[in-house]
Parts: sequence; C-alpha cells; structure tokens
Amino acid sequence: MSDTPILQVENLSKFFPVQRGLLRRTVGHVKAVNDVSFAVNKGECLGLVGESGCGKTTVARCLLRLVEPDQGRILLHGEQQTFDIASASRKEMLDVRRQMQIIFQDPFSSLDPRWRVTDVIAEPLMAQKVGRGEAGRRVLEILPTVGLGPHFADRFPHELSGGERQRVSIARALIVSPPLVVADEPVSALDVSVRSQIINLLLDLQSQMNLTYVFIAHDLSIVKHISHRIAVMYLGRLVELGTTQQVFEDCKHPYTKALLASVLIPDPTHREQSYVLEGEVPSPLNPPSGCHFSTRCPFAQEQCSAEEPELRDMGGGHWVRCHFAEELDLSEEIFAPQFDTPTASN
Amino acid sequence: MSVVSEQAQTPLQPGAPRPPAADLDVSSSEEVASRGRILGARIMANRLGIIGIVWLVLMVSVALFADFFAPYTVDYVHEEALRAPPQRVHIFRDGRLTRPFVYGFKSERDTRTFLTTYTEDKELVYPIYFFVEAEPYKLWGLITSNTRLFGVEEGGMVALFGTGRLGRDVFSRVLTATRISLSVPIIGMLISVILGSSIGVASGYWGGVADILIQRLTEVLMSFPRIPLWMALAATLPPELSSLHRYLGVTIVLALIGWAGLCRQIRGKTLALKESDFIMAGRAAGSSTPTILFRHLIPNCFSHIVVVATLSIPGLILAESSLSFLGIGITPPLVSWGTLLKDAQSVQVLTKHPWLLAPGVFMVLTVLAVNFLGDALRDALDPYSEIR
Repeated sequence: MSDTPILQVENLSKFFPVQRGLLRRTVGHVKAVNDVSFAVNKGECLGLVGESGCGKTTVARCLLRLVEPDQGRILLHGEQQTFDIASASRKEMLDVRRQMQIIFQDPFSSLDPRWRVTDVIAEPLMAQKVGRGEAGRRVLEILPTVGLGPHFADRFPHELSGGERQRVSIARALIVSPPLVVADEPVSALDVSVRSQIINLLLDLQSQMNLTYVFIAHDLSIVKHISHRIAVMYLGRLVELGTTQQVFEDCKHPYTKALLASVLIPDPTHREQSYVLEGEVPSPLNPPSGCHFSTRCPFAQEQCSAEEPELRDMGGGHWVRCHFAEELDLSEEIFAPQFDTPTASN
Repeated sequence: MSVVSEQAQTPLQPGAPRPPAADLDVSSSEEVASRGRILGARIMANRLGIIGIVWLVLMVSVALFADFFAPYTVDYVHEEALRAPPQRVHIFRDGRLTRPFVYGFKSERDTRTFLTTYTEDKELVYPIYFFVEAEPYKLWGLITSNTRLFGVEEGGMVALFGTGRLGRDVFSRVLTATRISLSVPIIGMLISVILGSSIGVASGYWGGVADILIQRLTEVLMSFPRIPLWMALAATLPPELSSLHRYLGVTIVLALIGWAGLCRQIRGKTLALKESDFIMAGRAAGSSTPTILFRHLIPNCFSHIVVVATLSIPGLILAESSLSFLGIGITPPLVSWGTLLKDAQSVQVLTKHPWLLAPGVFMVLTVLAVNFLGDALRDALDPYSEIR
C-alpha cells in the first residue's frame, strides 16, 4: 500500500431526471451523487458505506461509465497514461476496462443465463480482441485462482450455487488483470455461510495480485475487516472519509456514529442500548435544506438546516461534513435513545 | 463480530445419510438435464402438440417429395373425366382380398341440365401398383426420376380426390400445392423474424427518437386493414412478372407487413432485459454494442421469438391463400391451395362437386397443426407452466 493515488474522483455528480406525463416533462432531479470527491491509493481498499439509496451503487457505475456522470472528473492513473473516465472516448474506455473492472452485487442476475462459464469469464478478453484459444487457456488458468475446478468451464450459471456464481463473477473481473477492482456489494446477496469465503478470497487475491479495491457495502463489519480507509455517504453526499481506525474509533459525524451503533454484536450477554435513527431517509428528489442529515440528527441546530456544511479536513486525512465536528463528543452516553425503549428485563 | 470466521465445514444434518464417497466427484456424477432435453420432454407431454408435429412433418415431406407422392403432374388432364368424383379404393373383389384397385367411370349426361354424372364401371378395373414408372420429373430441379409412389397402368386413371373442371387430378394438385403454400409462409416468417427481431432489439436498446419513430411506424402498419394493404402491395407487382418472381414478390409483401407485431414484442422484452445486470456486466467488460445485441439480448429473447414466429405462420398461410384466391397472389403454372380453391368459388361446387374443397381441408388442418405446435412450444418454454 502506497500513497500514490490510482483513482481520483473530483466533484462527481449524477442527477437522474424525473419525467412525468405524456410529454415526459422533467419535473425534478434525483441527486443520486452530489459533488463527491475522493481518492483511492494503490494497493489499498477503500470502503464505501451508507444505507440503501445513498448513491453508493451510482458512484460505482459512474466509475465504470455504466451511467454517464453529469459533472466532475474521474482520473484513472494507469501504468502508461492517465485517463479521465468521465470524458474518455470509446477507444480509451477499452483501455480503461483493462485497468478497472467491477464485481456486481447479485451473482444471479449478473451472469447471462445462456452463456457457459468459460464464455462469461472470457467476455472481457474477447472485448479486448484476444483470440479464442488464448482466452480459453487463460480462463482455465484463472479458475483455480478463484477456487473453481476446471470442470466448471462448461457449466451454465443455473447449475452453480450463489457462491460459485460470485466466484465466476470475480474471475470475470480479474481475467484482464486489472490493478483496480470495484466491488459493488459483492457478498450482500450471498448466504452468510458463503460470505466469509468470498471475503477471504478477495483478500487473498488482493495480496496475490496487488489489487486495489473500491469496496461498496452496507455491512460495516465486513468493511471494517477488509478496508484501509472508509468513505461514508448519505443522500448522495460524502459525509465522512478517513482511515478505518479514524472512522470506527473516532468518528466525527453523527450519521457515521448512528451507522456504527446499528452494527449488531453477536454476544448474547451484550445489552447495549444502541442508538436508533429516527425518521425515514428524506427523498433524494427533494433533500432537506442545509445539512441533508439535519432532519434526523439529534444534535441539529438552527445553523444546520440553514447552511450546508463543507467537507472539512480534521487532520490526518480525516474529512467530515459537519458544522460541529470539533465540538461534538460522540460517546455512547450521548447516543442513548431519545425515546422510551422497553427494557429487556421485564 | 466474526463475519470472517472459517465456516468450511459442511453442515450435515444429523439424520441425513452421508453420500457415498464416489458421488462426491461432482464432475462425473452430477446429472443436469439440458434445456433441450427438458424442452423435448415437455413438448412430448402435450398431445395436441404431437398431433401438430406429426401432421407438419407429413406436410413438409409431402412438400419436399410432392413429385414422388403425386401420381400425376399438375397439368395432366383426364379428358374422359371432367369434374369426376373421388374414386374409392377397393381391396375386395368378388368377395376375395386382392391388391388395391379402383373402378373406372361410366359417364352419363343429363339431357335436361347438361351435367355429366359419373358412376363406377364395374367392368373397368385399374389395380394400383406401387413405385411405378410414370412421367419423368426433376426432384428439386436436380435429380431426374420417373418413379412415383403409386399409379395405375397406362390407359387407366386414379383420382383419389376426384378431378377438376379441366379433368386434372385434385389429389396430385393439392400435394404439389403444398410446396408453395408451406414455403411462402415459412420464408415470409423467416424474413419477418429477421426484420422484426433486429429492428425490435435495436429500437428497445437505443430508445430515444429512433424508438419513437419505429414504434409509430409499426402502429401505422398494424392499424391498416390487412387485406386491402396486401392487395395494394400485391397489385404493385408488375403483371408481366414470371410466376416464380411473383411467388417471391408475394412472400416479401407478406413479410413486410408481418414483422411489425414481432418487432413490438421483442422491443418490450429488450426494454426489460437491457436493465438487467448481465447486460451491465457485458458493458463493463467492454463488449461492443453488436455483441450485446446479438449475443446477449437476442439469445435471451429467443424462446419468445420462436413462439411468436410459429404462431405467425397460420396467418401467413391464410394470407397467401387469400391473395391467391383473389387472383393477385400466386399465378399459374404454380399452384397453391389458394389458387386451387379458386375453382371452388360457386355454390354449384358445394352442392355437386364438394371434392374441390380438398385444398381447403388441408389448409385448415395445417393451420390447426401449426397452432397446436405453437401452443406446445409456448407452454414448454414458459418456466412457470406446470409440467404435465
């Protein structure tokens, strides 16, 4: 792990127009990703967390140009040259796809049901105009790397289990040996029993092939295990970015704290009264004024709903988007629930 | 919190018998029924489907080997038997089993109505022989042969479905007409499937202005009344066109109208599929648009295309027959079921010469058979249908 960035995202925004009526008039925009900036260093794993609908997946898809970003730059520092993915030409994108690949969330829908495993894994190679024989040879090479036997090559996806399918999906991403892999919730669709195997596989592959990951998840315990740095998103905005230690032990944003508090601890004697966020996630079509989190934040003050905080550097690469990041003491006591909870004793 | 704890052990249920070690070799023992086998089994379970398939196989072989199955050529004239009724095949003579034979005709002319009536002449016996040498023909324009499936000796006649106005054998003509009446719909269907599925996939995948234009075009095409549109298009074929060119022309006319429905269905399917993850994965892999269209989208629409295409054939059979019946489709010397039915236009036919309707019967049976096959295919390809 080094400090040289392999990927720099600058002011990335993606607004989806909402169209209504016969004439398909645009009545508003869903601000799925709003002015998001971060960098990923070579060899590290950046965790991107947040609840459903916060724009994690849209970020991932923008990175791969699977949806067109509206604003911002996505700089990929390749071995020879630097690409701006947001404005790359079709030909440049083919080079980009040799350097960055994606693992999708749902292994059941991300494999074409009509394609054999060989063809699925070889698809990125075929796109790079690698010959059929060479592609087949490389597929057979990569199968054991992801823990599959050579007999899987001729199978169809419907003959495989969820974990096996996700291994195929990982093989497809790694077949072009990309230095950077975006993993879009790669284990959330899997059985709990298979999750650890896939996570360990990803970790092994990272050290073997010197990979860099952008790891998207909503399960914080997995992110904690695999990530070096963590970025937290809320309603299309980055609210906190720091090393895993900074985020888990010294988080500065109330939303991050709430996310951390929601992690269940598998200990029957543990009786922590965890903090539960009140209210619903506001509609990204019409986010609250000022700080987007102000409507649910237990510390919200007048200033919060009036002006939007900047993402500020708290030192040591720890960035927080909160007016009161310095003053707040986010210890367990303050996070006691503000409504009556039935006690476990009766 | 130990998400990453090793859980390599297989959770065997306490009571479950451990599989024998030999079965653990997944590569050799795992039985996975292929799609094709499941499909075949499901079609075979559908009785009407089998009936349809049997009839269609029969019709297609008749079409391929019409010259062999028909005892006479299309133009062979039985001068002595105009509008003669079908001859019955007998196998008993004087109470004894013999080789199949037919009787010749005794004709009488009604002096009042001038209609000729035919009765069996028990003196004239024409035994039916198989694999006889008769008029030579060229199979598929390549192989010269003169062997026909059955026939009677020179001087006799066999007309299983009777004869027409000019004394031509209806049976031979119906069999020969199968060629045109099946090939026009099948070729027309293929053209409209190629047009409809590629335009439909493109329209759904790209969307935007092209999609809107294509969809309005199909709506216009589909809202025209069919027969006048066919007639108008068929009328644009120049009359001096040779019979064969006219045949191709009619096929193309039918295909040009038939693609619209398929196009809309495939577009809908594409709209649903293009948001799916595997298309997204294909794009992330860097696959070109043609690869995504022709290797991802069309194969996944394929079962749908097959069913729609099959179910479009009956319409095309009827369309070709309608055009030919109206005299703007197939022209002589080629014969189709529609042109044969032209001879059966009058009420007199229905009352006095009902055997001239034989091509109509073939048409009805074939349309039914294709529908049965289409329904069987649809049920077999539908993952939610229960296997009977």
